[in-house]
Amino acid sequence: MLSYVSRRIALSVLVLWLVSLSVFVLLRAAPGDAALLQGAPASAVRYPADAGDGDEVRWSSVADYSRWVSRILRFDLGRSAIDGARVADSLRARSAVSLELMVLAVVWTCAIGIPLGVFSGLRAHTLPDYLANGAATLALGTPLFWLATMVLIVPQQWWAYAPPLDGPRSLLADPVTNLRQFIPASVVLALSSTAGVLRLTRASVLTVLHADYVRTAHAKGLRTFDVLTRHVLRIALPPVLASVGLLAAGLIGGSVVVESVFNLDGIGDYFFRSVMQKDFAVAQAIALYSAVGVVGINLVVDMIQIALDPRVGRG
Amino acid sequence: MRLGGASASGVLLLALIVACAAFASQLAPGDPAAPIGRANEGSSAHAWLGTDRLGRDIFSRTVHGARRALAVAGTATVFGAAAGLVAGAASGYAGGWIDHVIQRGNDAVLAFPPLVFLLLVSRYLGATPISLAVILGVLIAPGVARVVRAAALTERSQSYIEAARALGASEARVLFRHIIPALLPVALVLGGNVLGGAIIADASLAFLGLGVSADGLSWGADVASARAGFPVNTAAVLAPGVAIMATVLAVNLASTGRHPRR
Repeated sequence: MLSYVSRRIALSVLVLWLVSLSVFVLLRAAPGDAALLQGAPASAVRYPADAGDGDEVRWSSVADYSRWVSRILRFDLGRSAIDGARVADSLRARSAVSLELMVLAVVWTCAIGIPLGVFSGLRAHTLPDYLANGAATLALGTPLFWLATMVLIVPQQWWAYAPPLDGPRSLLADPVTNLRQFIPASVVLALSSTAGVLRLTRASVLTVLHADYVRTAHAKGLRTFDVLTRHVLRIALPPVLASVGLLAAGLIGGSVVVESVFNLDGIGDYFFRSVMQKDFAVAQAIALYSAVGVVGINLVVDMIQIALDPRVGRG
Repeated sequence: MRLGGASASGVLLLALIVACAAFASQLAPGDPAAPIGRANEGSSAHAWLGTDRLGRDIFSRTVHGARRALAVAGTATVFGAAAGLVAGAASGYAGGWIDHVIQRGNDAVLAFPPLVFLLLVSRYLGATPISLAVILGVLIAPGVARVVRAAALTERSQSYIEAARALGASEARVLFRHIIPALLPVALVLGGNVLGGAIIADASLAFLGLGVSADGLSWGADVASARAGFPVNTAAVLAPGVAIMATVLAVNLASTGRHPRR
């Protein structure tokens, strides 16, 4: 176990270095003006090479890269080229928003998707199962940006209700306003992953349910509840856990769509804007932050899986 | 190939949507890009679903949107699945260092922020739907390659492959004449499974203002445009959203029950 973890951490350092290098190089190789992405003709776009003013727009060099890395290693993320704010400060404020969204979305996904999936699996090929599956199919086809828009405009037009859209409030300072903002946003964010987890749990439970050892457990007189919790779910849930881990890893970098529709200034929105505006210091810091988060979450998920099923860690 | 009820209804719905895209100019009563009346008109015989905030016919725009959605997502899926098929088959069949290089390349593509990719591709292809198709294709390929590789590993130990090699076929010939055709069904099924996701991804990027063509014809861009008005025109948000959901539903239903055989 210990050697496994240390090997994983060593590999992670390699991954982080690769991410830092490729983001650094590719950001600078991309066009110098985000206007291009929004439809400006190529002739109207200035490239970094002919802009030639200031540190931010110069073409990369080995010296630039090593200077940046040495600053990162001293936890100095630099300043934004757009508003001059310290990247570390913005990152702290915005990661709190994205982390709250992520935690809530994971909670909804697990609290709704897993029980419904288990239920669906146990009652396979009955009406409730078909209903749950139909709802999941529909949910998987619903685009996030559209659902978020509808969740804002329908209550607005029917009941003249809208959640506060003037920027995120802190959970500790103003919990009511905070939850009015974050609950609808996180529910929207969780919809398709809930559907995915429901289906995966159902399929996973169904596979295990017909295994010989489950029949043996029934035959030796265990109560159905004990068979379910000790024998079925213990084997059926690790793949589900892996997919929840993937969801959390995917949300560590925030969600551009939900953050911008609900006007919650999080990591996703920050990264999107920094890439568009070629704010190198910010984009690089966020790419690195997300990579650390993804690697960390993957490590934790793998360790939980080994704890649940020791066969996973071998070989 | 036997179709279940759900599959058949998906195929039927998809055929309908493809017909809408193909005959958009004939089906749509008005010009989708030019104003046909006042802004935010209600539904009428003249504009079936009313007009958006720029006075354009919502129904015509929604019908024409199918063209772009299917073109971008379809192109991305075809090229993504094809690239994934060739890379995965080569990786699994060749093994050794070729396998390592292709697999680590896969990991790198998956780990990289797609937005930076998009910026990079736009430099050469402009902010066009073509750029979006390229990016989505690049994102589709690694997943396909991974599954195809696993299938190629079992395929290469089949006796007919051994026979082909014993007859003196070159490695390239075995790969392109035997391995890849044998794995084609796997790639087709995987392509069907990712098409719905590609449609949603294309619409989402257009919603964020990325890769919209000059006429702005995209379901995602239409939702973004409707959202910007005040008060928001619900019909203008609803129509493209329902169109996306119907298309994705059709694609997903049509590909249910299709699993890679291996």
